[in-house]
Amino acid sequence: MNCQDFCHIIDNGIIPDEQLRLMHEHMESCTSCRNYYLLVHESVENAQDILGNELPEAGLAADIGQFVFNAPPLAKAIPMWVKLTSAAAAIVCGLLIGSVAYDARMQSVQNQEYSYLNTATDAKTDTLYMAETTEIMYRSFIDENEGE
Amino acid sequence: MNIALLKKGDQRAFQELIDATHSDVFRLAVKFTSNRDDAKDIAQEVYLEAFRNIRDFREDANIRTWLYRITVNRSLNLIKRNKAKFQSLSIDSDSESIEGISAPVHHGADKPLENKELRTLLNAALDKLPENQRSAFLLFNHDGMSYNEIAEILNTSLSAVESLIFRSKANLRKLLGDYYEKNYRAPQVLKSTDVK
Repeated sequence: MNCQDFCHIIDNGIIPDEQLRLMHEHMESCTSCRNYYLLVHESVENAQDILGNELPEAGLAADIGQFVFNAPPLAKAIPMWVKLTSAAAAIVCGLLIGSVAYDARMQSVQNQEYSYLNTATDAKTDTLYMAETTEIMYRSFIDENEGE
Repeated sequence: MNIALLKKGDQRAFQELIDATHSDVFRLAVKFTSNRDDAKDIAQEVYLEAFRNIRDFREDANIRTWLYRITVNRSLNLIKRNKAKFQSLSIDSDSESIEGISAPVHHGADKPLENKELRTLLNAALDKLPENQRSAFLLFNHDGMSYNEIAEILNTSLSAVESLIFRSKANLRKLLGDYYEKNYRAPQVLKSTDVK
């Protein structure tokens, strides 16, 4: 077996049993292929041995216990349905207050439009309007009492 | 393990659970993070999360599997949070190779690779794998875990686990093979031509 055949078998991932003996023979004389076998085959197929099993320190269980039992209590999470309901209620309240305020404002504008004494906006026009009204009243009084 | 007592929040029962399982949780976290301090932090967080959510645990499930699932999630979160730190192990983070790891200066293809070197290279190659392939591969190599258990921990199907492990091995072979050819064999060829 040469190095090329050796690497080709390893790259395929599955080593046929009949090739294994030949490969071991080749590895005894070729350190390069042996390293290739260790890195590409052994470390993948037997990773548990390579990665090792690092044991924890002796006191870890007690440390974890202390950490867990002394941890501050978690702030109670607000359920999503409560959040959604609150948001919806806030929107409805906002719309309600807004519509009431808008109604009041429109009412006030209407009242101003129909008021005879709209002195605040245009005093001159109002004075003229009052004079006209007085004249009309005067004329109607004259008309009504014409015969007397 | 008395699940009913655990669900009631009994501290003594929970300490028994920690005593019985902390070693497995710690070792799994070390495999994911390659760092004992990080693994210790993860183990603490795993049990804190378990203690707070034990009421949600289904009694028909395996509590060890449940703890492993939390461990995997916590480990992956830590790796994401500290991405820069973990990527520094495999320097060339953008490429699909493990080029960044330099071969030991003293090393030549004529000297057998040591376990420590194999572990460093395997960890660097594992960092290059997609998250789900790495998780499946590491779980598969943790205490001979079965495909069923891995499927339950990763919340996936049995066939998906088989596929993930198969692909992870193929990718690792490719990454490690390419690395070896470039860093160990090539210098050897140069060395022999220099002599001539």
